[in-house]
Amino acid sequence: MIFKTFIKRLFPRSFDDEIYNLTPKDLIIRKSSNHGGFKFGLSLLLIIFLFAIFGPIIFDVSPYEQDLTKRLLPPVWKEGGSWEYIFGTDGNGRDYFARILYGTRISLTIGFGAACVGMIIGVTLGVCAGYFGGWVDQIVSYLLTCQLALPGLLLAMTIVFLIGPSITVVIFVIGATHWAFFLVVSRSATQKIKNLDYVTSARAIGASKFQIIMRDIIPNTFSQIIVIFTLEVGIAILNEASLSFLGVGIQPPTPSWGLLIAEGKEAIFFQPWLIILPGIALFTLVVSINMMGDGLRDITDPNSKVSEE
Amino acid sequence: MLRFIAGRLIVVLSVGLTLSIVTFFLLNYVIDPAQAIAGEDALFEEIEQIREQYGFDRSITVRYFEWFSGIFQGDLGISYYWNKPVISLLIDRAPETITLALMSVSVTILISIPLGILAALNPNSLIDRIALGIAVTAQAVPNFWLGLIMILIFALAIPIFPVSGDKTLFHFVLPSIVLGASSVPAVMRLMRTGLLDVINADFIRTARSSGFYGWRLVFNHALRNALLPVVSVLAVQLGNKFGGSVITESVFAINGLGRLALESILGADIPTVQILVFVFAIIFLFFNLLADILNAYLDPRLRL
Amino acid sequence: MSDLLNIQNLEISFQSNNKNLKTVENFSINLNEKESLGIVGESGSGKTLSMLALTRLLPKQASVSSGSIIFQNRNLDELDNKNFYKEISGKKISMIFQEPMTALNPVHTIGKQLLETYLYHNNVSVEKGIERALEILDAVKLPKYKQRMDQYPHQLSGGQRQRVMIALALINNPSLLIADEPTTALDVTVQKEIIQLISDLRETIGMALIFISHDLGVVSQISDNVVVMKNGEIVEKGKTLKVLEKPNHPYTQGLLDCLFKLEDEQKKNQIKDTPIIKVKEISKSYKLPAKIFKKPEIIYAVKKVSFDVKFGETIAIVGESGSGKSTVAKIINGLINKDEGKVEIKGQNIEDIEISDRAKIIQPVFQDPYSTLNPIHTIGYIVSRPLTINENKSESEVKEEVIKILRLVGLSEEYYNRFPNQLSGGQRQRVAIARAIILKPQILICDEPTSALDVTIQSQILDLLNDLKTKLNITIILISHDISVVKYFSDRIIVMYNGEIIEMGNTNNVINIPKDKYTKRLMSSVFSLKKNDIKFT
Repeated sequence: MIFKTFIKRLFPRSFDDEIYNLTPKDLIIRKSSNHGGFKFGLSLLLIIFLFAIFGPIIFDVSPYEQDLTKRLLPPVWKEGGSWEYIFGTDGNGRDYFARILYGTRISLTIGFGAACVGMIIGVTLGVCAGYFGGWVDQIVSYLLTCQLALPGLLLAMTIVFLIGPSITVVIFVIGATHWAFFLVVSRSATQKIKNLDYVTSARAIGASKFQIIMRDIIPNTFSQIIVIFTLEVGIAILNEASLSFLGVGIQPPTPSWGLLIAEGKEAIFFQPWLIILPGIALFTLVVSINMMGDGLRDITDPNSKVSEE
Repeated sequence: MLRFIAGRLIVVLSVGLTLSIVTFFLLNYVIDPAQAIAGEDALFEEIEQIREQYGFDRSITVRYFEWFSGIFQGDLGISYYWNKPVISLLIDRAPETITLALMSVSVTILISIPLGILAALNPNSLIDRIALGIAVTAQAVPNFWLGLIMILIFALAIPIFPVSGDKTLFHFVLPSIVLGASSVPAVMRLMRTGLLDVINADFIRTARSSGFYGWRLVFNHALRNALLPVVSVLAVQLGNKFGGSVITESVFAINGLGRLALESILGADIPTVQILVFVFAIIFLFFNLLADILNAYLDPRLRL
Repeated sequence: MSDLLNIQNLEISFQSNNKNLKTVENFSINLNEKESLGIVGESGSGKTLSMLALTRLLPKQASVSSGSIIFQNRNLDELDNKNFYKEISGKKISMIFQEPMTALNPVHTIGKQLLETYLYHNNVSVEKGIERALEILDAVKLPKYKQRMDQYPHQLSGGQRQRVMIALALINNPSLLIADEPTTALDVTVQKEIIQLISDLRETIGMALIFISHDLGVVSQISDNVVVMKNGEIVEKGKTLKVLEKPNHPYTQGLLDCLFKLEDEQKKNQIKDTPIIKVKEISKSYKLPAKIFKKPEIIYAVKKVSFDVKFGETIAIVGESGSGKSTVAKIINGLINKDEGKVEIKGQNIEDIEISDRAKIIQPVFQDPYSTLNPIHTIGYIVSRPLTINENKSESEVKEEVIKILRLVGLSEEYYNRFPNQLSGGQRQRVAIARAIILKPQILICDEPTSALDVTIQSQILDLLNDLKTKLNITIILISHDISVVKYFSDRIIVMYNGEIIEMGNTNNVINIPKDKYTKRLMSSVFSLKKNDIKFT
């Protein structure tokens, strides 16, 4: 008698049998609780979030108040500095700590906002292209090539500068130039899932196309999309900083970190902290988000094992 | 092969066409070119005069065709801001950007490939963690800030490289590092994941069972497979460098196309901006096509 | 005869979750020169791992924790990796694996791969190497072998690639060949050829053979001695004939029972003469995406296929890969649109039947238990979905029916809230069956429902299907490549090849008195395990 063996990989899952008594949700929780990078990134991000939300309430400082007698004071750890102005002051005598603190809100808002815009555009297009195929796919591929070919920064610069830079405009422009990644990933995920037996079964039991997309396909793409989302938040934050640095993004006196760096550029050799501090802020925020994203990628990888500590 | 290239060329041309239409209409509808030339404080009559003089009162479609057909005759328009034909601006500034692009991709290759290979061969070891650390850092550092920090270090602490200007090749070292660093995370991860997957593939097991091992196994059997996607990504990255050089050129005061783009936008110089967006798009599409051709050439599964 | 290979108390441990799991224990075998040994076991038995330890191909997390391996009177543990690979691997001991499709380097030509292996172990000129490569390709009976030298693996079929793999393994005239399920991924007819080839080459070269398989039938034909493994340990050892006739261990007996059961006749349903399904001249073709140097190809998956299915009967469609049997099944189920022809179910054209009505008449059961259930849905949701989509029942009524059906397929109520990843392969297949029958369809289309399962589980699921068949009076269309399952289960057989029906008729007739040449080849490739009848049929 001849029959086909079940095609098993040589890294046998059967050896982890006890772990496989957990529900998918438990598994994810277990894995994330063991992933160092994820925990670090998430914690750091939460701290920054709290800072952004509650900071201005706790620390009663103003990022806009100018005191021209107190220009370019050094931060507290340099000689000449004082605890009154922890991070010193900028060229207009404004409290630098306050500027950086309020800048957190801008970066977070624009980062998450733009990533959401990109996600909505990219995932919608991607799932449609992946599920319907045919001419829908052709058109979407064409749109994708166009989007990739357009020099994103250039176009963003142009549009923001010409229409008028406000936070909303910046969010939409960055989002509208950054949906490619979402599209590619959701499209390929949809194509793979579409051919799986459980989707065919859903068709056999009479589920409508809409039901299949909403219940079978999209939920199974979540894990991949979330990873891309975190990546794009980081990219959007850096993008906004670049735009503001070049002068075509958030306008003064709003304290976007990129703008702070641009303003501090003039005094780079004498008051380097004016550019170093906002840069560190940007770096910290993006690193935390990226580490969280990388962690999520490892955790949601269906091939990853639960490692106990 | 010809059928393939022809097919892709059609895509390139049609995308280029679409983009040219999009940018032209976008830029010429959103701002009033007459206003831009006349300046902010101009009087209404002056603006109208300029409008007539330059022919802005004609329909936008007519103007588009005029512009587009002009491109084929070598007439890329005249910059109002610089008062020069756009094409001379391009020719002037192109060599700097080309140099920068080539050098920065070299930097990317020099850092990403060896690190990626070592990381893949020793997963979860120290070198792997260092490699991933570098990737994470490079991804999170704002490139303009990195540029400024480099200027700070190399102007004050270690004055071995010039920090501004574009006269000699040495002037391009720091900018190349900054621009190249932005591609390092993606390429290194690709190299690492790609090689890791290949090492665990069945055909490497076959090679091992035939007696191959160590570096010979990696170089003769594994690497060729793992490099396939990396090569095409590098080609695409090279294409990206042209549009993406804006910031680096500005920070390091290099007079390339990127800086030209920034100055043109700030000066509302629509003819130049139009051409630049179009040129950057065509360059990107060209390198994309190159990547596809390379891929097809190197991978027998696509060729035959 | 001296011992060629002597493995004593081999123990392999796996590093998983920071724990050391012993996956293979007390593994001891003895092999003489030119002898053949079969290692039999189900998945997870450790049969492959033990041989990977011998060839130093264990995955990173696994390692040999104790035991000795003595080959040609030499303790292999004393060799460091460098010398092992240079002297033993590929030269004295060679191994071939299960998946021919991915076993060859896609960017090197066949010739290059052979040449490189030969020149690596032998200090000869390139011309000599090419000569030898051609010689060995001829020996493995690769058709058009001279042209194949310059071709790439993707230009060869599965069977051809396996021959190349064998050539690669034998090019240096090893003393021992280890074959790990070399034919499991191949079509039945090709399987027999490859096994015959290995057997013949073994005689010609005069080498020892270790043959790993889950298939007792195959192993019985090709090995002098056999070792049965379960859960990492050897449970039975001895001369093949003796073990098959009088097994000592209950596990071995169990395996044999499962196999012999399929040789018995089965009680069949009451079959009415009226056809419930009428298939008339259906055809379906696919266009392959164009490659760079090739024009787009058209594959004719199904060519003018016609047959009827009677009420209550179980009809099997048998064929190898590419025969079109799955496509026919999907067309009948309404999941794929045909290009031409007519399909009538209970007198109605399939296009005219409303989707929800169709769902209540005909349902599929698929092959792969790991992709047939949506991993983020609970079992309860999966099985209740057909009801919630097609019928207007209250929540409690639905839940009641689901639990009832789950019990019917052998799953207790506690599975209602579980997720697929918490179930085994066999349990998942039960859920798939439950989902298929909850709407009380009159026709079930089972596409290789047990092919992906272990022997013991397979027989349980077949029993379940049989049970349901009689209880619910269902007409079953069974798609399979496995003749013995088909023989056990079906009233009639349709044999397909290359998109066409080759032969059709009563099961016993087609199997025992095949008329067509291809059918004859197919039936003769089956390794039968009848107690008195162990020979190459």
